[in-house]
Amino acid sequence: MPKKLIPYLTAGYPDSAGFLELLRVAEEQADALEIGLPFSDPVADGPVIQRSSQSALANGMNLPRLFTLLKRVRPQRPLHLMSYLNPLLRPGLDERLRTLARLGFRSLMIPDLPLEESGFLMNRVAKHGLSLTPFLSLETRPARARRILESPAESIYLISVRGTTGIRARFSGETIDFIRTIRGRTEKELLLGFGISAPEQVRQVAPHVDGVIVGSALIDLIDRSRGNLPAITQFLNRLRKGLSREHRHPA
Amino acid sequence: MNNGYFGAYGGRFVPETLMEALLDLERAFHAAWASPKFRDELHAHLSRFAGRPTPLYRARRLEAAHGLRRLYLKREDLCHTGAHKINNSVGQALLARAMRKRRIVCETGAGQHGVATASVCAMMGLECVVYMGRRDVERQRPNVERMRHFGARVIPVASGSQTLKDAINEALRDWVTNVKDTHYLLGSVVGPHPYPLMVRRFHSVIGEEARRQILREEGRLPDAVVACVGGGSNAIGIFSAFLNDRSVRLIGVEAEGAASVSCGSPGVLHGCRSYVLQDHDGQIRETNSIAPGLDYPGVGPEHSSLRDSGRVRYVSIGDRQALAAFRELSRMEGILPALESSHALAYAPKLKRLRGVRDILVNLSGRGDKDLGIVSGAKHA
Repeated sequence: MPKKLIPYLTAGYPDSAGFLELLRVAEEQADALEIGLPFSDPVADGPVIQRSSQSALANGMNLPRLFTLLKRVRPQRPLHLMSYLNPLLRPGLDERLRTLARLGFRSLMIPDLPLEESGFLMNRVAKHGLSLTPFLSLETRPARARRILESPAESIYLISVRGTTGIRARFSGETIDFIRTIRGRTEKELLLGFGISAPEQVRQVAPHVDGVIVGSALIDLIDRSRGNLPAITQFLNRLRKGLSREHRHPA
Repeated sequence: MNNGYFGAYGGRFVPETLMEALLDLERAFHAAWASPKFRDELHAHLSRFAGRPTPLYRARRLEAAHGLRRLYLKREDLCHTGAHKINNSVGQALLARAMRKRRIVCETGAGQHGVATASVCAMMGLECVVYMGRRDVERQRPNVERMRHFGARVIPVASGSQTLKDAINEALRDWVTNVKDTHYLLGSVVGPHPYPLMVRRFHSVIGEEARRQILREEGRLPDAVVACVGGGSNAIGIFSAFLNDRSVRLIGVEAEGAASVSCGSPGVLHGCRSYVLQDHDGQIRETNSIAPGLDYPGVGPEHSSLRDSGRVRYVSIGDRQALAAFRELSRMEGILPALESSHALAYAPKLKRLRGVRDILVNLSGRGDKDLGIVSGAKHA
């Protein structure tokens, strides 16, 4: 199976039109897309995504507006929604889940919803053909890891570092060991996120995971290049090559 | 309390990276609380370091001015470092030491929790990092100075409303990053389980003392107990001893510009389900109160449960009324109350309208030296 490149974009960032352009460009390089619904208090996020979230909120982004935008462009790749729990817990949740499924979303990634609290949402999400992608971290111990791996989700989100989202130079031996250990325990799709920013890093982890999620580094590039689309294509393309080169020559 | 919930409120809504740490903390807390050795050590620190028990003071001139029969103040302002916060800081620091965590992070709004924690860390030789909203750093300057004297690193937080909410966000981010060697010494009855339960236990000494003291003085319970509510730690501390006394009315006083219980709706913020101030998209609203310790859009989950059950009534007081109460207590009783506690003081006289309310107990949760800048700035407003 080819490894997946999953770019993360903050919904409505830098603005509605810019977001739609980025979506189009990212989609050309991507196997799936993760779209972040901005939240006022994103405790799992570092400064880059905090800023993009604040800016998108200031522009009035919310779930209904995201739906309107996506109906306009209809992305063809599978979508994942990254959202903190509170913005989802609004009246009409079932209707919104139905819309998400219709627009091509496959799963919800909720960084502040650990397995122990997810029971109330799991069945509701499943009813609409969606799943909750659970997280595994460097801190997760074997007993809980087993329960998390037994959850009905198709994919598991591996958090590569202790900390918030952000750009990091390379992964520690501990991270590689962690990924390999989990790989040995499950057939589920493993998606690695947090701190992925360079092709060398991608090559480092590609043998052991099914896909990588690139968020802060992408948003940071969007900021620095002022939305220069060729630069973004080039960046994603380099990451993609990092993934596939590894695929042809497994370590 | 069931599996980390007070009725429908509470829980552990945190990133996966913190889950094992919370489970460890819960185990460590239950073991410590059941251990006579831990309780003895806690008691010793509370009496020799924190200055407990604090007195119960009868405010006779205020009684006369407002036509109240009896008005008692629980003098938490006389605790070491100037507020009830030290009860919890001592307890959690002992716990951190038992868990072999040498680095402490905490948030602070008014600075009282930061000062208490910095002081305890100095006493126990622990590293201390305090996150404080930049707006609060500016308006509670004396407390920033005190924390620095105790050797703490105070990190101003420039995101969001630059107040308590944002300080908690940043403390959580630090904890996620340094969870291996760091304990998050959360300062209120908010956050993920076990914090609301644990912080409540550490502050229950306030209510236990006050109940014993007033029974000794008067041979009867008060008709009403009043406390200010931001996150709600001092209120839970004093209410906890009176919850089963059905004759005693319990009143939580919020700041008008941050009235999460009175004006909010259930939501999830900072790891727990509770009443929060939010817009129709579930975005957390920014608050605005003259009292930095009340300037918070959430509240402890137990308060949400007590609101729904009707056991505690929640009301709110505006900045001007709080300032008036600050000046009145200073002038008439020679006690400078914290602006947070001034909200409770401002509400107390209104209770005499209620039938059968004649003896009132107010939790004077902190002292107001830190607020002189705000108060003199507001003089001509």
